[in-house]
Amino acid sequence: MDGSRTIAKVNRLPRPLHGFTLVELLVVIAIIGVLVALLLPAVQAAREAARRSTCINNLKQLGTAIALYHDVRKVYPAGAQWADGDVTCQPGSTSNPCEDLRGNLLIWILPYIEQQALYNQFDFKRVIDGQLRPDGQPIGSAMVASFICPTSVHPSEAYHSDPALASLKMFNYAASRGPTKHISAPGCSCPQWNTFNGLIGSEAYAYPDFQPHLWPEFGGPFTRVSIQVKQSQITDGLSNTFFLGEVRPECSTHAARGWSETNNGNGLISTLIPINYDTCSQTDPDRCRQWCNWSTELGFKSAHAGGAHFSMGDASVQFIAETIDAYAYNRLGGKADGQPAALP
Amino acid sequence: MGLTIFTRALAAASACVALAGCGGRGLNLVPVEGVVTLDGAPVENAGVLFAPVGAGPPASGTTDAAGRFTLMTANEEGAAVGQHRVAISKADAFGEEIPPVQLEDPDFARRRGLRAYRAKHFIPERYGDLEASGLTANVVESGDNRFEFTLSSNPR
Repeated sequence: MDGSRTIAKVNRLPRPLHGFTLVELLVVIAIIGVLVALLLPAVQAAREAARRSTCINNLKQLGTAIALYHDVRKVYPAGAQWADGDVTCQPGSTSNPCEDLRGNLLIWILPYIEQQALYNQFDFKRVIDGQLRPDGQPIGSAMVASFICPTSVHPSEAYHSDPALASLKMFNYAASRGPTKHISAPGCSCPQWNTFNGLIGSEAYAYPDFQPHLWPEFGGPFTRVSIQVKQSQITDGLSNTFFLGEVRPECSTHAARGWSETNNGNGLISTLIPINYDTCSQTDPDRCRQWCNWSTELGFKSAHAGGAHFSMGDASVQFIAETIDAYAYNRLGGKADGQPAALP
Repeated sequence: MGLTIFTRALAAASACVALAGCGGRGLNLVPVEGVVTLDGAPVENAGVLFAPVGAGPPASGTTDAAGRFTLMTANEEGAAVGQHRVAISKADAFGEEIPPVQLEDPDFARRRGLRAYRAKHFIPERYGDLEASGLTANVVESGDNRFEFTLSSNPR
């Protein structure tokens, strides 16, 4: 008894013992807050840098795959075969039938990104769209990691209510049609479709998709009407011509169709539309800002701030800023405009 | 409570430092607005494109019911300071179907069941052509950047 009292007595020091005051606690919390506030953006930036690095690497792989395709076949793949570019084909004919909806560039380069098994699942003698695996699932429901830019934040599938498209996996890179005019959709018409076409002035190409005699006239290296070009036709130089660029499925009804669908923007995305032009809305009263317009939706877009990545003909990857001069951008998009533009 | 004010200021200052990297795209954009009229009446849903003379990205906008527009460059408000060529267009790409006989290759079109369309222009087509519109604008650093484009159905 006596001992415990002594201990209690010893602990009763002249200066009273107490905990931290409220102010002291607040100061500590504030300091921790400041440190975290300083650190958090750095951590986020580091994570984004890692994602961007993967994004660039994927684009580089796809650019290299296109070059390999040319090495083997002595011609580049078309952007897509939405329509058979052979004007002598006859629908229903046995000798020369029209082969429409026969796939796109992403499918044709699968063997060159070590996806031969996936490539072999397609029957190229039939319409590609909607082809199923033996297990009854669409072939396009397989995820191809090289087609995805990790910076792009979107569900991996299902942007369309159409059940046939719902399980298809997305992609973030598409083949460039360069400075090639396009029209705007009936029912979702952006009045800008015509003015953006004017950016290339006298080098304008008409609306090839609905006027077959103009199909061979496209500014970039790729088109969706099955026409293939050779390296010798890229007279502006491979390192000065966009082959692939970034797209966002959540901002374009075409790019939202999954990598296995023929009409998914490959050979359709144009440099006439400014980089990262926001068409991610499905309700904006300005149709130019809607994803359904067949006009501004068909530009290159990325989730990176300030620009987008492109793979040139030599498979080098470049980040092009949104602030690039409109004419320089379109000259880089053109394969043979005779005015090779240097990268900014 | 001088201390809390001090810590708040410190937190605010550090937040500013942390966010500083996000600002500034190297473009000198200033707000631009304007009105488009055709024969005195406002034009709704027309596309307005400002293409810088020299170098730079284009700015664009769409007119409202009163013919008013504001410009955006990519996704930022405003247009670059300097001289611009201007194109204004209001057109329906699927205006009128071209009968197959008028097409370059009528047999092919008929065979493939392809339908071609001629665009219908609601304001004279030349206003939508940067080369031929004759419309220009000088966007200034500070001052009035309101532009009125009075178009005519019969441009000279």
